[in-house]
Amino acid sequence: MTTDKPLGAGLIAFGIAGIYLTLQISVRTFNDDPGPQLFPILGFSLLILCGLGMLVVRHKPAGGAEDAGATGGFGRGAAMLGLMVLYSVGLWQVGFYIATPVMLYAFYHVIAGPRRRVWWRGATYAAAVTAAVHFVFGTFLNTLLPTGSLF
Amino acid sequence: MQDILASFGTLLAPMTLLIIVLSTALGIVLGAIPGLSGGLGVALLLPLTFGMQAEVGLAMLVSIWVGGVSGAMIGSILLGIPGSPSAIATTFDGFPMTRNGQAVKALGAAITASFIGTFLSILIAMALSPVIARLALRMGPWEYFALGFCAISLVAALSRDGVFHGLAAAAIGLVLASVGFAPIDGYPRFTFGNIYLSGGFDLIPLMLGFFALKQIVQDYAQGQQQVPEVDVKDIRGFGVTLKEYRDNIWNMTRSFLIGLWIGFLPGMGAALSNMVAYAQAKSASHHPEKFGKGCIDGVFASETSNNASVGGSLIPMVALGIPGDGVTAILLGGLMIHGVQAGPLLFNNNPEIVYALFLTALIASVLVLVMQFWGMRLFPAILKIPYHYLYPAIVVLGFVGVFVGSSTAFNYVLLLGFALLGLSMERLRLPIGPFILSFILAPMLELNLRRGMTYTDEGIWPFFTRPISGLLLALALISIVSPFVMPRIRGKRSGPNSKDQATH
Repeated sequence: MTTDKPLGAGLIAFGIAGIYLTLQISVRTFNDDPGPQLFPILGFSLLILCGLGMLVVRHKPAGGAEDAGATGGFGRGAAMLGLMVLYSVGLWQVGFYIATPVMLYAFYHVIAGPRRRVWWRGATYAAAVTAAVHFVFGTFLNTLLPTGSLF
Repeated sequence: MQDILASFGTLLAPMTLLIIVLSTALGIVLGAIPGLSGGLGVALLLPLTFGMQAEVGLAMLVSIWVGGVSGAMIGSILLGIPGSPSAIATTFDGFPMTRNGQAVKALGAAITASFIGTFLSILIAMALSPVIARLALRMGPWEYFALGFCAISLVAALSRDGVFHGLAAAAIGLVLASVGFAPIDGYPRFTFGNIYLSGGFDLIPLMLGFFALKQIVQDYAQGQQQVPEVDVKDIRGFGVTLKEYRDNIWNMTRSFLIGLWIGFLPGMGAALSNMVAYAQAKSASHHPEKFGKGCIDGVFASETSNNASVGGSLIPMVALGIPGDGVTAILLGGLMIHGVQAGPLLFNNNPEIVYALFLTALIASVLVLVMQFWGMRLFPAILKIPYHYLYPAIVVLGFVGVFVGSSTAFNYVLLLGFALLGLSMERLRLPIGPFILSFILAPMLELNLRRGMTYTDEGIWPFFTRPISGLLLALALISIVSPFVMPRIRGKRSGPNSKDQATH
């Protein structure tokens, strides 16, 4: 099933909503200056035009185009994204030095799968990568690594 | 000539040469790490130059920069993650080549193209800086807007899923770039009261979200566990045949000129030139269908142009005192810290500084060539790392990379949001190229659109009536309309012929 029609309709709806939001901006600058509304309106109008084009013109999808969503497991992708969300929450709450080794092990555990995973290798790997990042960013480049809001 | 020899003498002093070698190597490493770049290295090490002689300090900064621009292709080719925005287009064909088992060939093509781009552009910058700079002064906001618009149209029109998909992706880029303070008046748009959105979306989370995180989620979702084979054994020289170089002479020449010109335009730079050169290479190619699937022409185009922008962006910096991009702005700061005022009088007042700058870039480009030639057989070792070791480290580098630039945890949200957007766009067949290009160009486009409309009483008309601007806009229109018109024209032409053939 082609995604063009629903995408076209979605783009039109998004474009209209965007133009409505842009028109709420009320600021006067100086004579002849179109103000901050013009550019977003151009962008949203282009979206509406493209949406209309997708609804009207039939386009044959390019041969061999890979449909990631269809061929890949949605559940596996969602699980990986979930882990990334968890890591970002970890960095935000407990900081780099706690979140990183724990989540590195979690990523290793999940990606390696039951056949390849060896717990001590995962733990060593997690510790080594955390130490390497600390050395490169914290020590060598002297940049601030994420600190948590809890600790 | 005496000034050149004197500068050369200073740079070849053992300590200075050692600094150049180490800085070039550091630049390559920083360029190759996603989220970092040679530009970040220049910014981080600028304070170190305070105590150095001006030429030596400048040599250090220029070496990191040159190394960083060339090193950015390593991540693009081997991992599909550009080290910096200047190597985004390199991923389009470099990474598919790696997946086809041609990692070393892709690296060889990129290394030689990088060297040619940097070396020749620096030579041209040395010779023609004052002349070319005078040309730039004649361009007004109308021409800048038209140039940016034309670049986006060309890239969008080449979308394999159709012009509407390409333009829609570009429009999403324009809309997202509208978030934050507007140019000229500083009005906060679409921020919904969130202070983190006031400055707009940062390019680093966008790049890492679209390329690093999206790639990992996709590969894991598809159960991709097979490490690509690497063709190291049978490689001679740079791994590229003489025929492949010969076939790409015009492609590289065109990409070089695009990179030089775009680099030299203030406010643009390598991040734009690689995309435009790639689009041009694809549109001029006899086999455009091979692009995006591992075509070496795409690697040549992208890497020649982004490195040609190095010399290009030095021209306005040296001749006019106007930085061509973010890194040259920092370099300009470095010059000022050492009491050197860039601009038209620099050639007269401080010729030794000008030539030290150019000569360092030349030396660094040769060093990059040598280092990468020896390294190109070792770099693919990264591909032998199993995904369960490689991908977790990339995720960590991605999150740390978006944090170090801004020190705000809000960038995690942006990183994840852009990864999700990238996955959705892939699913909906909206191409990433036009999206990123319009996102990068949008601030410049808007600024020049508004300036152009306020500079005269004629409103929007000068955009169409000024010769260069009008020509570029016409080219943009043709590129958008031609995918609809050309098949009809071809159909009409081939119609009677095919009938004739049928009757004979």
